[in-house]
Amino acid sequence: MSSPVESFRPRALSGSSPTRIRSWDDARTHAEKALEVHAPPDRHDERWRYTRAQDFLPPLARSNETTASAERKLGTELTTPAPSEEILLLEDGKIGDPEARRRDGLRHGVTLRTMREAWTEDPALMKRIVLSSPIRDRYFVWWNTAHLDDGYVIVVPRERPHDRPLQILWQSPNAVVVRRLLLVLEPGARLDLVEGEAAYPNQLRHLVRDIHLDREATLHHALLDAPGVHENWLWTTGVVVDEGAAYHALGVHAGARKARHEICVDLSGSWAQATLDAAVLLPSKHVFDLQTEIVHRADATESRQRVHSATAARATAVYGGTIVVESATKGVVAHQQSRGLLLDPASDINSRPELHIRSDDVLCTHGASIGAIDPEGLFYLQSRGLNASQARALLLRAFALRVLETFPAAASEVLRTALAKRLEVLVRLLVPEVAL
Amino acid sequence: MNTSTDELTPLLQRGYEAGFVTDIETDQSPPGLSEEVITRLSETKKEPRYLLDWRLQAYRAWLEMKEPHWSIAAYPPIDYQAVSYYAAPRSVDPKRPKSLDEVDPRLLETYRKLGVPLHEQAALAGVAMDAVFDSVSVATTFRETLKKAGVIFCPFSEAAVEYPELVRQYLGSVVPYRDNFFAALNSAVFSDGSFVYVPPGVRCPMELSTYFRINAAKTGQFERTLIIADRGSYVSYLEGCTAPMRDENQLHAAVVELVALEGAEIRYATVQNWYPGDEEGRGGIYNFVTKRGDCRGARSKISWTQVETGSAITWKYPSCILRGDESVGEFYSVALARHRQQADTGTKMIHMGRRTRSVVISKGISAGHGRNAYRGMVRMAPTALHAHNYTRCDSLLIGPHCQAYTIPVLEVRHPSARVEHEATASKIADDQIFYCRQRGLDEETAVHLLVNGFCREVFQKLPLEFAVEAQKLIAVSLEGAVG
Amino acid sequence: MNNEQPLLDVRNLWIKAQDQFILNGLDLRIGLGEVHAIMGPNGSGKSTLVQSLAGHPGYTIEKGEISFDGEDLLTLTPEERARRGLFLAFQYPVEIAGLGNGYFLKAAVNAVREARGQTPYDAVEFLKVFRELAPLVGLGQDFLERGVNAGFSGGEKKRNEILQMLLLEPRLTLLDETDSGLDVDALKLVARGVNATRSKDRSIVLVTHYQRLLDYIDPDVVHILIKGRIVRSGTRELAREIEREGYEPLLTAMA
Repeated sequence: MSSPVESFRPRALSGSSPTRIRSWDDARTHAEKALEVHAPPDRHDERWRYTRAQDFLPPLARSNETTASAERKLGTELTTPAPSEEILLLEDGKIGDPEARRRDGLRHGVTLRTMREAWTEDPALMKRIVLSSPIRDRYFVWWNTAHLDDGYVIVVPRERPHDRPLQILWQSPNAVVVRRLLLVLEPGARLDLVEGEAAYPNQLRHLVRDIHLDREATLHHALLDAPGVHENWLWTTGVVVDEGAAYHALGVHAGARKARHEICVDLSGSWAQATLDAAVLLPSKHVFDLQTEIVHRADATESRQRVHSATAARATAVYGGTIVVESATKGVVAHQQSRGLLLDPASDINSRPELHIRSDDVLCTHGASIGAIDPEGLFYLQSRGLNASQARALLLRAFALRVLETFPAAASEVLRTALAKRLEVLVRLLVPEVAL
Repeated sequence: MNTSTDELTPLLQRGYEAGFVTDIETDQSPPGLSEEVITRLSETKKEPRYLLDWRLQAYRAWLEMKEPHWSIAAYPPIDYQAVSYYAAPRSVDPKRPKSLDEVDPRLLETYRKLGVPLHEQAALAGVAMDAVFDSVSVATTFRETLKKAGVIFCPFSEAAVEYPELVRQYLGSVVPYRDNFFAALNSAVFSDGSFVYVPPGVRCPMELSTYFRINAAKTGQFERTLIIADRGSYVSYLEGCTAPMRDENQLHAAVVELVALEGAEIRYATVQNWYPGDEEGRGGIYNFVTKRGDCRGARSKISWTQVETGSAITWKYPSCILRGDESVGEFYSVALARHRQQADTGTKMIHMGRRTRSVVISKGISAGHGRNAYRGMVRMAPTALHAHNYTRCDSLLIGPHCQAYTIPVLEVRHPSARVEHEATASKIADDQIFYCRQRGLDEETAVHLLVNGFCREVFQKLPLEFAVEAQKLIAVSLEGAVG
Repeated sequence: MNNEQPLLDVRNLWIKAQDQFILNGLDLRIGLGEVHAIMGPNGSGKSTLVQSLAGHPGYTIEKGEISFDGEDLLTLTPEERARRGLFLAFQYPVEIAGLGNGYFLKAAVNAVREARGQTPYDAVEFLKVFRELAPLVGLGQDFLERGVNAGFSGGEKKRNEILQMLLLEPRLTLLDETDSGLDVDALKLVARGVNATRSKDRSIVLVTHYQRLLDYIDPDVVHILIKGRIVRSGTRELAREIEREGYEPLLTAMA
């Protein structure tokens, strides 16, 4: 565990300072140097107890299994959106959707550029993102920068009507995929974003997101992964939330052979808010390791987390949730709730909350419970005529959908529908034999 | 609303009442640690060969180990060669006095001043006491009474000679010397401590208690306690600790092993009041302690209660291995960190047996520049069918410069096991302070009442006299913490 | 109203909470031995008035004077006000789990007694007094062991407030919606407790939403508080009028 003695997170990198980064090439060089100096995280880091750095470094030991068709279907169902929605299909190295291929393809003043272009055209913006990113000193972010062909930079202005969710589907059949997304919401902008990754067998996927929410901006973010027991993937998400801005994320996860999402939120302006919710529904042999970190750096910041995990046979769910309340902050509120359901004797659920409180003007609560499906609930449903597996399925469904119910109501219907659809699909994967 | 925090500026420097030094001639080994020092220590104590061998094995293992630094405590490097590993009042006969009349009156006076008189007429009713002064036990009271019940209660060094079979069988069976850096160090150099054996079916007729006192300067204390409750027996044990106020830091690395066989129950309570250092963080005890209980038999029970107000650094995780079916583990803790104190404490509940149960209640109070961490682990092994744990840890922050950490890990490997955890961290609620003040209580009284209320669940688990003592200790520690 | 110096004299009181004015130049005089009822719609400032009289730190006094028995109340801390005989029965009594009710009551009574120059009660004396008073509000001795208001029902909390009032023997009692959420039996118990303290040297302010409580406690004066000011004062008849017609006519008249 890193020493919490000093203020949370600033970690100097020996030899190279990110303040000198001025171009795409600088960024790349900086990352390459960092990789030379630093070893990948090992198990002495408590956050890496359950998945290991080696799980996300090529070459991977591959099995010879072929893709089950159901897996790909899950990933691609997003490609049939309602006509009113915008969809962005991002493939390796190029913007796939014909309409978006034109720079003005995203309507209402939204700009989409590649990172190389953005470094040339708007270096000030890029520098700002690099320097303030809460994930800038992570091993796998350097790794991402060093191995990246190019990434995408999306800037959303205030004018964009917020009743039109944006959808992003990442898709590539390559064996090793390295992706990067920089998303900036300008002051007062609002966006509902549905983001998904399509799964191809035996892939190793890396995705780094840097999200910057300027004053009063609001982002509702639906994160969908595609289940595939033959893939390994790692997401690293950094979010900076400025004064009065709000970041609300809900992940629906099926995991993979090894899957991990690290998400770090800096509540850097007063009255900033964050919601990090997740429904983790792991089919047989899947692993999902969710590591969240919320740092309250300003007064009256609020965070809330609710994570519901259910595991089938030989599946492993991990939730590490760190909350830091920096000193001299006032009126901070932080809540974290996690619940786990083990559906099979050979599955396991691990929870590792960490609260670091350095201010006395806080209200911080944390609760966790792990167990089996409530026998009282089962009995109640059975007494109403359902058989045991129907009853289990219904309770599991309620458990999963509960996360969506408590997700901030301001999220748009399209986003909710996308999340609900995926939740239903995953519940059915866990209890296939029952009609719900 | 902001009644309290602004005014809750810490300005406390309340005298540490146990901070006096006893002026007594001391035999002290020169600083430093080597196989030779360990061999000499063992010879001084006239130990049997098996124990020396064990110590040397531990020492060799320790040399290979690294000091752990994952706790919240930050401190300058410890020079293990600068510590003296043995100190004993010259007047204490290694063979031990036959009766209290032979104990040096200055030692008796020391314990009287600490509120634990050793004369049996004056002693707390129903409490048998082993008094450990620096590296040796100076007296053990009520031994005859206990002997009649078949209970063995004696200094560890005596047990090593008198009951070698028991010691050989159980020493290191709960905390092996390789367990961790400080346990290995203790295994190599431990000086004295208490040994308890309660035979099958016996309910120990008295509370057993050990009072640990560090007196000599530049020395460490490395005691070792081993308690074995045989089938169906019961014992309640209390531990108290104090040290003089000194400017340098002193090392205390103890190991406590508890073994509960089938149907046995051990209650172990600690009121830890080692010198915490001054307001600026000068001096104080470094308290690195490994305490672990093994519920080896079915339906056995081990209960830890601790009130930790002292020490500059506390590193301590009294744990239970719930091996026996239907065994029960409990951990009740109040830890207070003020001035520059750093307390990293908690527990591990390792459930292996069926229908095992555990409860963890932790109350952390941080004031001044104090830093307090609860670090816990509850593990439900695949064999822990229908096991249950409930954990609650609350942190109270008093003043803007203190810190609280909560790290409760849960690992569940069987669906029939149930684990529940709740935690809160907050300052004392403004509305509670206002309510008390509206009823005429001043702010300081209100805070004391509220803090005691916050700790009550834990205090209730202590024997009465100690609960009162603990309450006073908390009140004294917080004196002046409220503006 | 009596012409002597009133026990409580509030003049031109302006109070802010969270940047909003809640009281806008309120005047109120309460004579010794009088019982006043203050009625008003939700959000009119009733609770703000009594809480700021007790010294609640959440309110900012922007302007105005409050004297209590000739002394400037605004310079006093909450506990000094309490020790001088000002008692607030909270609308939402605060729960303090872990702190024994008996322990709390004894500490409070003795703090107030010492301030008055009376000798503090020892445990035996306290228990004797408690045993005399507790039946008045229908509470048993088991209640001494429980945490302050922790896990109490609404009725128990309110009765606990009245019991504290009886124990502390205040000169001015402020009852903040003590009747809300009570069934008839509990209401009668509360009224019995209040009526037991009525005397020529004790004054009472009843803050209430409905006139129901006034069926059991007969006030000398009734005030109507709307938008942070007292807009009408009168006798019991005024309360009955409100019960019949509601606040609507008064609100319309103001607009």
